[in-house]
Amino acid sequence: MSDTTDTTSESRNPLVRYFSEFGVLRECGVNFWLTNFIQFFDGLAYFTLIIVFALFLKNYCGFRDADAPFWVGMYTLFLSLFVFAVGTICDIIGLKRTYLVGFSLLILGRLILGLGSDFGMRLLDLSQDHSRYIVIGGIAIMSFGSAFMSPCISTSIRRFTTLRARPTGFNFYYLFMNIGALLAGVAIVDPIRKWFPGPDGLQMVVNFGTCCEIIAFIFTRFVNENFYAVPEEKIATSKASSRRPLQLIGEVIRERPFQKLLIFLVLTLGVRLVFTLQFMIMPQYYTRTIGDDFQLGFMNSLNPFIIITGLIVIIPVLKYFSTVKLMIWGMSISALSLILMAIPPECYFIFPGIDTVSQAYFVAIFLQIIIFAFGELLFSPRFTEYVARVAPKDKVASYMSLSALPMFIAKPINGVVGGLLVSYMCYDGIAAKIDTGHVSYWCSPEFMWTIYLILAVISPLAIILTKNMFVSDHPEEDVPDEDEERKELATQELQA
Amino acid sequence: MNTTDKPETRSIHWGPIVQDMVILMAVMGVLGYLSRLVMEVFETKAVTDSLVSLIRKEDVKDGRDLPFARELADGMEKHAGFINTRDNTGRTPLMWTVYVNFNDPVETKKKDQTRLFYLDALLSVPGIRMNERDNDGFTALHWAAWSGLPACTEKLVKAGMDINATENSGFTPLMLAAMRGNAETVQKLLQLGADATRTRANGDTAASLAESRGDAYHKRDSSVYTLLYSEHRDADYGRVRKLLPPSEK
Repeated sequence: MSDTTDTTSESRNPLVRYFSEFGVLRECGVNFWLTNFIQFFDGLAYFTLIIVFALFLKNYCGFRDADAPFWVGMYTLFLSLFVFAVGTICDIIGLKRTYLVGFSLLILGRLILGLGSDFGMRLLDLSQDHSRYIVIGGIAIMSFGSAFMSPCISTSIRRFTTLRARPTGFNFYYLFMNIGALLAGVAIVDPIRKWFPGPDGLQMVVNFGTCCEIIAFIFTRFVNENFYAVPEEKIATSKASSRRPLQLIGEVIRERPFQKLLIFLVLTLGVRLVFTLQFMIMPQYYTRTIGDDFQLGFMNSLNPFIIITGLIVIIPVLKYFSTVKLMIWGMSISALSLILMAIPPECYFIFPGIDTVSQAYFVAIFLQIIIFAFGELLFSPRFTEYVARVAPKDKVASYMSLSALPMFIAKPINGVVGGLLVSYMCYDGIAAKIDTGHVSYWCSPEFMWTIYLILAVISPLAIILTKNMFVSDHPEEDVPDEDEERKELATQELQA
Repeated sequence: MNTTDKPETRSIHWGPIVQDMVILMAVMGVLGYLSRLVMEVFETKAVTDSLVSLIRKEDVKDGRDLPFARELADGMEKHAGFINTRDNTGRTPLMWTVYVNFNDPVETKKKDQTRLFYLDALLSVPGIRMNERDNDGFTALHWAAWSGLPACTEKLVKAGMDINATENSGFTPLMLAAMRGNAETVQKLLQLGADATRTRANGDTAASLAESRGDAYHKRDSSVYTLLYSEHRDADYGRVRKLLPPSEK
């Protein structure tokens, strides 16, 4: 997320001020807009999948309760891991070839994911247990293909925008991506699930995403990869060193700022893991407590809605506040939002209009998503900015990519823990047992959220306690020879 | 301002990139495997998991579901008492067959018809125990009533299930159907001879449960929350209340 406010208008209306900024994009050529269409359709495919992924694996492909979140976690892990490894490839082999390789893998992986289970059982006469391996293969191929997209699109935006229009270009890209996320929920997932209720609808959503990827791939064929909005960057790109990930680790691991950064990252792990729960276990929680026809898409669209509103109204104001304070506030708000789901649903009966458990669950989920997204809005941009500020000026990109390391370790563990908690405390059919009073607090979804609440609250507490030891308001003071302008530009690009 | 010249050709050294990727993937693979290994200890598994999952997928084509039929035959061949296997919540495949969780009565009705196919298949398996109970005392009939599946309910009762069985908290199938506003299931149970006067220890009857839940929906549907979400169940609860004798609670 970027908070750049290159105001081209004197208007006090944040909406007018925000959109007037986009006027500068007129100087970007057709390739910039093509890239945005590519990323829009790719984003639509990604967000529609991630909303239903855990449910699709469980209900359509027959994964067990504990397995489905685990494989969603592994997918996001593979994706980050492959991004880490292929990040520099598009500078080397060219945009079009990278798109070709990426989309070929992505479309193949998605086809295997969407059709592999039926193919295995109906055509190869495999048991459901065995056909699951085909689906897992699809997940691996798809994540590899997806990994090409993010660096490739970032490179395209950078290449096709002038220096003046670049920050706005990345802002527009981020806005457009969130609009895609918003539409994925309300305009795609919910209507498809309404027309095709049950597991078939989930498969339709996955296959719809595959069609979006094909459309995005067609757009890539019209991109002119030899176009550079800033001609000098062509030379810089051709001379840029493409250091390998393990090489990067070797280079920075002994540096004091990086060691401090690693400790900071581990401290924030609790709350950042909770961010991933939205796709790993919340879909099961929603549908099992409220019903299979729960409006999953609507709820998942609330998050991008808050982000879009925040981009326009809140973020420009936030730059006047301390980074660490905002991170602590953001983490605390996100973490504490889980209280809403951790308290027994009966507590909501004091509010007018809430008289049944399912009504209470609905209100709890709605409020939690809104408050959580607001916390994320405060935390995420400051977090990325902080990582960039810690880095020496020539190593911003290295620090940024290596900052994902603690999450690599945490993601599979989170998938396992999430899956097990769901299988014990939010199993399918629990709504009937809640209705009949058979579920004690210690075996309820509320207790599951209490565990995550404790985990999440550790992060802001740890940051508060270790302030001035590992975290400071001016981390750049530890870094010699600062070049603010360059770092800021790099930060904006990496944030996007 | 811009250029469309061909970029300089750069040679690609794939070896080190591939090597790094292999190392990273190996590390992640080991990590994932270890996580999975730890998970195995705590994981809740039942031999019938795949069968249940196929039932819930409802992939009937031309009156057949080949993967389901194969899974059922394989399971029966490999495991004695396969069909009566209970999972971690104590549920058997029969109970899973008659469980759905939709708020929309129209969708539930469609499911009722599809699930009949699987119910017929399971009921025809020799040795199936009809009156098995899960960990909380629910029978398959409780699940069918709670879910709102009148056709499945009828089939289960006609197959010999106890229509007035109470689960561990004293709920009968009729009470569960009434509490959920499942009008057609209530009607079916009453036609089949369910006792509407049964009372729980706290005095709850089928009618009082329908009243309290129906009132809650009515209140909610006339408040601001309706803007966010509503199942519009007033009419269903109204029908249930008409079917049952008035509550004295």
